[in-house]
Amino acid sequence: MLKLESKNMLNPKNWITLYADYLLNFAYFRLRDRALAEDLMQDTFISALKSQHTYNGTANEKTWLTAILKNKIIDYYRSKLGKQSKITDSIDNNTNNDYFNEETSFHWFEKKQPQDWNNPEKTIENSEFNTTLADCMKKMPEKLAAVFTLKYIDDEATETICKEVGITSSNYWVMMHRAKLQLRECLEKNWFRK
Amino acid sequence: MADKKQILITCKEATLLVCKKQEKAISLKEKIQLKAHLLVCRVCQLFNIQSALLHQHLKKINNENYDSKVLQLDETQKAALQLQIDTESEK
Repeated sequence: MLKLESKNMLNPKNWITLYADYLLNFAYFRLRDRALAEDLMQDTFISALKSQHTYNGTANEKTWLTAILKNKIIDYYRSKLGKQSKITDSIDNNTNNDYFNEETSFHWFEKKQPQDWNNPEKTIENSEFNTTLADCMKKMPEKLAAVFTLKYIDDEATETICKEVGITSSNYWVMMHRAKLQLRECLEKNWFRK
Repeated sequence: MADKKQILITCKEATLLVCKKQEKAISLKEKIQLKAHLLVCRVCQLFNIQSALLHQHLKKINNENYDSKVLQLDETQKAALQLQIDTESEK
């Protein structure tokens, strides 16, 4: 009996007060769309109610609810990424985002070449840097952001990411490569050489 | 037998290998190709150094360090949601 009491319990009466803002921000940070984040947060509570019987008390309530939300976010990512057979063509068609001359020199386009950064090791530790970083991540195309978020925010293994969102590893590398080229460029413009 | 064509890679390929290297997903052959390219290409060298710095930084901060309290629901929204949950749980 004592054992039972020490287990975590679900208490839906308190869910909104305790977790609504947390889950909303968790989703917003990963999806960058408030309406969508609100929908998924709401769905999370409804799904959680329906699957209360599966809760065994090993994880605490917050962790359990977050895991449900996380699955919903991954479902959303997969719906955006998985059915795409030619991911590389659809990432962005903006020729402004071409970095390399693939016809003659095979080198970087001159205006796209990385420039020297002033004292980057030091300025990267400035707390405002993370705000610029978050802004630059917001500018990433949705599909790139999905993969990048799973890697760097959720710290997942590459294999897991590919399986979860339904992409091949070569697609993963194409997307990660492009994400990093864009992020580096954005940070250079908005932070390191501002 | 080393084939010259196999050692020389383009900047696009080199920067892709930089990304693979960060996740330790690089083969021995690719490692050699990248090293050779970085010896002669200053621009890719810069990319290599800068993206390593960003990679380290991103690994270090987790989501708690980002602006995690950007959005807040107002009390009316919260009350409506809680009501929805209460009604659902009574079903």
